[in-house]
Amino acid sequence: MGDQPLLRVRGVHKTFTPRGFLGRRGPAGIQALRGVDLDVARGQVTALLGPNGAGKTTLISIICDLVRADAGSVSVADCAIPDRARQAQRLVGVATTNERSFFWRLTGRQNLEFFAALHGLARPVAARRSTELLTRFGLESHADRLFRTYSAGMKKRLALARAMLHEPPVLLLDEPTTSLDAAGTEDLHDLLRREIVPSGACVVWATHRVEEVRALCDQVIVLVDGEVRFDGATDRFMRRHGSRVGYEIEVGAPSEAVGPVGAYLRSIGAVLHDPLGAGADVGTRVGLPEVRDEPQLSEVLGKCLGLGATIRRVEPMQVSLRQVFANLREEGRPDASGHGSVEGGHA
Amino acid sequence: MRRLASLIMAFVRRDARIATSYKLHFALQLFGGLFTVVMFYFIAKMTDPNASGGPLSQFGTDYFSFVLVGIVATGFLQTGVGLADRLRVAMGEGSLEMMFACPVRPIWILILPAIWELLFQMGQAVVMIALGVVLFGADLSHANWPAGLVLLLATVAAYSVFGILSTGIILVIKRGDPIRWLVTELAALVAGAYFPVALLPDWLERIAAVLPMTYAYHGIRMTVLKGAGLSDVSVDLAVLVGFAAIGLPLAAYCCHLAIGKAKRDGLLGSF
Ligand SMILES: Nc1ncnc2c1ncn2[C@@H]1O[C@H](COP(=O)(O)OP(=O)(O)O)[C@@H](O)[C@H]1O
Ligand SMILES: [Mg+2]
Repeated sequence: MGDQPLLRVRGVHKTFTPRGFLGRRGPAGIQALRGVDLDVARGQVTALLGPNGAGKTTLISIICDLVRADAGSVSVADCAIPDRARQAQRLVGVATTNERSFFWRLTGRQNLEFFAALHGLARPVAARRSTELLTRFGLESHADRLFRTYSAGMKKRLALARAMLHEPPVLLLDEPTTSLDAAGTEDLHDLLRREIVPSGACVVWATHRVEEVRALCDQVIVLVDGEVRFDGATDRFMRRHGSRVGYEIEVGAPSEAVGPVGAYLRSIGAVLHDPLGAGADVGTRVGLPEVRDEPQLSEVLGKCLGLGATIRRVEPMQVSLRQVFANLREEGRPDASGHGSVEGGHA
Repeated sequence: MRRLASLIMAFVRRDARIATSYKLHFALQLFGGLFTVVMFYFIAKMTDPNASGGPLSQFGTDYFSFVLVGIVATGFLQTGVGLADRLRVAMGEGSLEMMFACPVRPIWILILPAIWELLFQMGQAVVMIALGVVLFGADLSHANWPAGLVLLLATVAAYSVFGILSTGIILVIKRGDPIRWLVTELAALVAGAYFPVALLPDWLERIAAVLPMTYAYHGIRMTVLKGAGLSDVSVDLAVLVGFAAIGLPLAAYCCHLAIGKAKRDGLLGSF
């Protein structure tokens, strides 16, 4: 086995063909996937990064045998889909964005126990496993409440717990943080780091948020318009496309500090959105695109404080995803390199 | 086998919990058949209780008892035909997709919700029969209940053929299908739910002869009203079981094709 990929996707194409009444041909089809290749090894967290409509959900649905590909092959631990779909399904856990996929009039625990039975867990095992997961995912005090009373964050956590019921070696997470606020998202990331990464599962995390990629993933696959535009390690992706990552701070400076603080900030490539205000209670937004990580950030903040400034707010700056995708679209043109459009690859 | 049993239990638990969580609706449904029973009680008052030699004579009973059994049997037909209702709900919600991602034969996911429906139907039947007998004086004193139950189950099996076909149709066209309507109306009109088939003109009687429900009503009435044993209603039983034995695999195969098509067209989800 060794470095044999656990999940292997080769040349997958999918066109959705809308049909008119009684199978008459409708308008032209939608090409959701155009020749996707993907390898995910054991214990690896792979981001499936792409804008809305890129084909992420379609790809995940094909791996779960919910959608049939038109061409190409998919296998999980050598079980080909769809031929050996049921064996493959035993190895795959999936969490979707759709919270209606739970039964709203059952409790969280009852929901988990039902799906555990579908995964073939005997009743006592299902009960034990459900309790364990409810605890690990911080839902034990809500376990016996109806699902419909759950908050958005609790619903997402239950979806993750459900995906892990049968301890699958492959986890497919389809935008698990959509519709969560910043705190909820952070929570979910913590859970992922604490409960899922150590399990050694191979995780495919579909997302359209670059900051999630940086925080959590070992490998990045960028899907744009149904094609893989980048496939490689996260650092490599960040070096290449993360140039806009950085921090934004809000700085106040008393009049005597305006000069030195301003000079220092400019020296590190900061972008001042307004002139530095005179007076500690007037904050100025300052972008720090060159500051890449927390040690660097605390150094900068320390310098500013030392020069007499006050810091009123610090936030990571978001990469403009549109920009990244636009770059990849450009760079990924087949003429850019000899062997097609995938960048970063381990071809 | 163990696996199937535990699947069945999981579905029954789920459905029982969901059904009983709508308390008022659950009670109304359980006792809902009563309105029909009461209505027919009064209609029956207009019929001549002493009429003999009429079309009811083969069952040796009065009209109210006759129709009460018809109403109960119709409920079991609905259980079979109505399989697709649950599917429509699950498909709209997205729970269907999630269940299909589990390593279970899809056909089980489609038909196991019927088990709870069947149990509920039995409860409803017991309520209707008990009230029909105790409050309205239906005469079921000769009933051969075990034989009646066997025929009821055979009826559900036979009519599940239509339920499974509907399920396949809904998977692909995503909206109500005509099968259920046709089958239910035909049974009510022609197969003898509310009046004996013998009253029908010849040409309708010929249609009745090819409907499994005609045999269901006849066989169930013979056992429950006259105390006939299974050997007395072997023709009725054979028709129902034969229909199920041939129809169920065919319907399941059609459903399998429909699932394949739904997967190719991306229709399992709630898009
Ligand atoms: N069942 C479907 N029928 C028709 N078109 C679909 C279906 N599912 C997805 N699509 C289309 O395929 C493309 C990819 O969709 P999707 O995989 O959901 O993208 P993502 O998850 O990356 O947002 C979109 O243009 C979408 O409209
Ligand atoms: Mg999606």
